[in-house]
Amino acid sequence: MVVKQETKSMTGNDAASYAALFAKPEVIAAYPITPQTTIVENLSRFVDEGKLEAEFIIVESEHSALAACMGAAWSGVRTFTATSSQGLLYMSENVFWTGYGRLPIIMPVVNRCLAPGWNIWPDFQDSMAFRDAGWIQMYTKNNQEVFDTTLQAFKISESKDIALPSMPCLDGFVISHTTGQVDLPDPEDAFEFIGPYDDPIIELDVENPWAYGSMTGPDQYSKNRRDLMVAMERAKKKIVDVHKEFEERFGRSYGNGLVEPYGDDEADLTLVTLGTIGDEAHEAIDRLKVEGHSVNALRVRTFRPFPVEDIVEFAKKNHKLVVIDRAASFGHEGPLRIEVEAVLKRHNVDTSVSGKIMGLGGEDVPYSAIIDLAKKELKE
Amino acid sequence: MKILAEITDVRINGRGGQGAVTASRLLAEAAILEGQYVHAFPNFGPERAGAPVTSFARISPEPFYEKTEVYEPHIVVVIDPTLLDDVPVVEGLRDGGTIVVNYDGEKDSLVKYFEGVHANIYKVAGSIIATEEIGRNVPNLVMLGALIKVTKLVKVESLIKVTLNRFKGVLGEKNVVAINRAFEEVE
Repeated sequence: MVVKQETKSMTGNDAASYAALFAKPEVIAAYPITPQTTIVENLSRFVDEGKLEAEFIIVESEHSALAACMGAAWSGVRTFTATSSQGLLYMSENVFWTGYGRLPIIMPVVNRCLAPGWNIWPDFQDSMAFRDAGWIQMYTKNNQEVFDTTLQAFKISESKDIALPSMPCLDGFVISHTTGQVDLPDPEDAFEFIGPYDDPIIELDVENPWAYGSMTGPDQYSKNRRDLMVAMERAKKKIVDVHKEFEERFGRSYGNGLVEPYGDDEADLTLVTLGTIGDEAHEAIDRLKVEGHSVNALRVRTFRPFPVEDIVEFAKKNHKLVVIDRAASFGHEGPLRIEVEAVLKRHNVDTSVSGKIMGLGGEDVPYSAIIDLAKKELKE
Repeated sequence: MKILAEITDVRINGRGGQGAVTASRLLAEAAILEGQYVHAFPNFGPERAGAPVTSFARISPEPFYEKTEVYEPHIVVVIDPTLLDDVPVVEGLRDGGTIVVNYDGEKDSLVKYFEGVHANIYKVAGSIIATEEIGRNVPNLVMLGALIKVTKLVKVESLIKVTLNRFKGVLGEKNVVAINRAFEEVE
């Protein structure tokens, strides 16, 4: 049965902080950076007001923020932080350490492009740089999905058979600083959904001492990485299961949790998207339909693990894919396009793929630009 | 066939520190109370006190997807009268749209600013009302009172409710008096 919820007005960053509040992390360590700052500002206020019983560790940099979370996660408690852009880069050593160390830390990344030039607006270059860091990455399309995804992330990451950190991604400003409606459940119902973290993946036990990060020879090292690959594969099913359970309890869903299709099953053209461009594409598709064009969309919600099977299945039913990236792999194409193309080739799907990189450094991507792109692709 | 959402885009022109962002958010909150769907957002980026700023509210009776910035508002609210000389406040305003200005002169003298603009022009002496009723020249919510009178975007009761929720105690009550006065005095 779907639980009672109340429609509130809040920004995307507020939504992320409410999900964290309801999850009751025991340790939060954070350093401010635009456009992330208000997430941890909210949490700091919640702690100060006594709404959240957590150790809020004020640190001097993002590197230390994640280091503090790592220590806390090793001690066996639920941990949370958030960052953006240059802050994410500055913590990069620990981002990999967290992923390869299998620590279930939840860290929303409010997507912002990378300097130079100095720019606080969104693109996905920051989180895409950590594609291979061993984190689950889920890209959201609106404020509601930020709340829902952040809550789901705790349940996914903290499962013993997964044990991977999660990076819910939200477009800077377009989500983070935009006020919209969010249906919030009671804190108790939200907490009950993820449950307490009382059987931790790893914990400090003085009776049974461990060494963390010790010298590891090639045999054990390669086994660890292969374990991580397998855990990522398992995470696909876990994401689908948690998403389904979430839907049963809260009445909202985003495709199957890995990908979200929009429009008819089969169309002349398919837009493949990530993040808020996915929502803007819906508007474009509705308007194109009024003009008699047949266009549908597949929004990749989960980028890591990559939903190979779902993309193959959707592509098989369709004729032409155009992948819209909000980041570039310099010397190649947009990262999403590269991966979609590779997956189709490997699975012998001959649906054609093209791509366009849009929205870098906060360049607005209105539905009119997507409509223009679609019409151009339909002609070719 | 799916009906496209009937969206109303509002742009609020103000100066940094005058509460343009708060105004757009409260307008959105009032619309949510009435079951409408909203986005409210600032002009993304850094803001400096006193510099011209814009904020936006996008309101629709139906759910909508679009997140693009507002280029062609249906409605413009000008919080600060000194902007009339500094900023093209009617830029992008849709043909036949509505502009509501904080202006304490005669309406005829306001109309001359908008020669050749095909729009419904309204004014209210927002700064005077704010100074007299709130005790400070902070006319952001006052201007919403005038806006909703002439556009009926939301009911005044909804705006009062979200105002009292945001500003507790005397400040909230004074703002409500000012909102009601602007609602009556807009012309």
